[in-house]
Amino acid sequence: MDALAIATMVKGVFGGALLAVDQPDVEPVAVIEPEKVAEVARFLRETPGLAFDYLMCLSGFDTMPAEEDHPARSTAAEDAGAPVADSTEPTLGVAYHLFSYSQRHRFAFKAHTPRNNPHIPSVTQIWPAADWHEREAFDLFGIIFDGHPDLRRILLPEDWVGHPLRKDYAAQESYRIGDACVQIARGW
Amino acid sequence: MGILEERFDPNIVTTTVDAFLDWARKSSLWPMGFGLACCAIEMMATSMSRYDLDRFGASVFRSSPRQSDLLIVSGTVTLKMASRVKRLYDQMAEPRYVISMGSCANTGGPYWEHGYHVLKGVDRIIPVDVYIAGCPPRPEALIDGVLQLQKKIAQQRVVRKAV
Repeated sequence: MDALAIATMVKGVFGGALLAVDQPDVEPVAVIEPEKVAEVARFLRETPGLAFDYLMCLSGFDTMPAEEDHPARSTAAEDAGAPVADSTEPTLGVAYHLFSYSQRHRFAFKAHTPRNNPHIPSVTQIWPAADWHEREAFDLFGIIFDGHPDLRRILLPEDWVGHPLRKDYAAQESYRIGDACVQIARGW
Repeated sequence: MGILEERFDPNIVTTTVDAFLDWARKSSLWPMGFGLACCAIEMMATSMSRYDLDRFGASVFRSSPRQSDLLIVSGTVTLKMASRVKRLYDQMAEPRYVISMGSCANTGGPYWEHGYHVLKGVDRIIPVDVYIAGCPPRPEALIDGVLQLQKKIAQQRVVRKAV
């Protein structure tokens, strides 16, 4: 089934919980209300015609532009006479890419969540593969997955401070290794 | 050597204790089978038949630090791995030697500027005997590093006073 048709189907069942469909001409990505993520996921998995039995990828993201991108981006937009990009609050988010082995079709959806209190329902009950993916998104972006059975850091050490893939992440100055304390910043 | 001359059978060699110990140590280095990144692939290639590190007596890769006397730090040392590297080094029996293989282990390599998670040189946590440049170093470079280490070991003094 075509991704836009699937989005229409989701829209029919969940109505306003489907906020928008991004990049409909390239690869459509449905934007879902964060509270409804688990319900939409279950619908996508359990509806016979959809049967999304394979969670290909679950990834966190941060919509804040990197600092050095700011001036270049706005100048380029102004030069082109295009309206300057809307100044909506940058958010964190999670994107889900799905595939169905029986139907041979794919679908993607995502949900935004505020930077200061990022919460998304866990989909580990629907796709067990989401377990480590959600731990990674938690580790690197600090997104809390409500209902996750074991939400610990997966890549970084347990005593790490902060979430490095957030655009406003400031690297630690030093790190303790055994009895020693090493400088992280370069320099001799 | 006057008093020893012609007092033994022809196949007896006389030498100093230091030279004998150094010769024994440098001729049978037992590296630890411990790879961290792409350098480890080159390290494996070095130990296999094409480059044959065994020619220099240094290819008995052991899977325990207790049986090893050479630690080849072959790859990027992340901060998470650094505590493990330190522990493995501490578990090795003395005398023990360390080769820092490749740019990452030497200085952090490509992660020097922005690697928030990378140790900027393994010599910040353990002493290093030989540094090998390269990203990754070719097997010939690793072999050269082992030969340099063997030269260094041959200079060690155990019984004689240090100069």
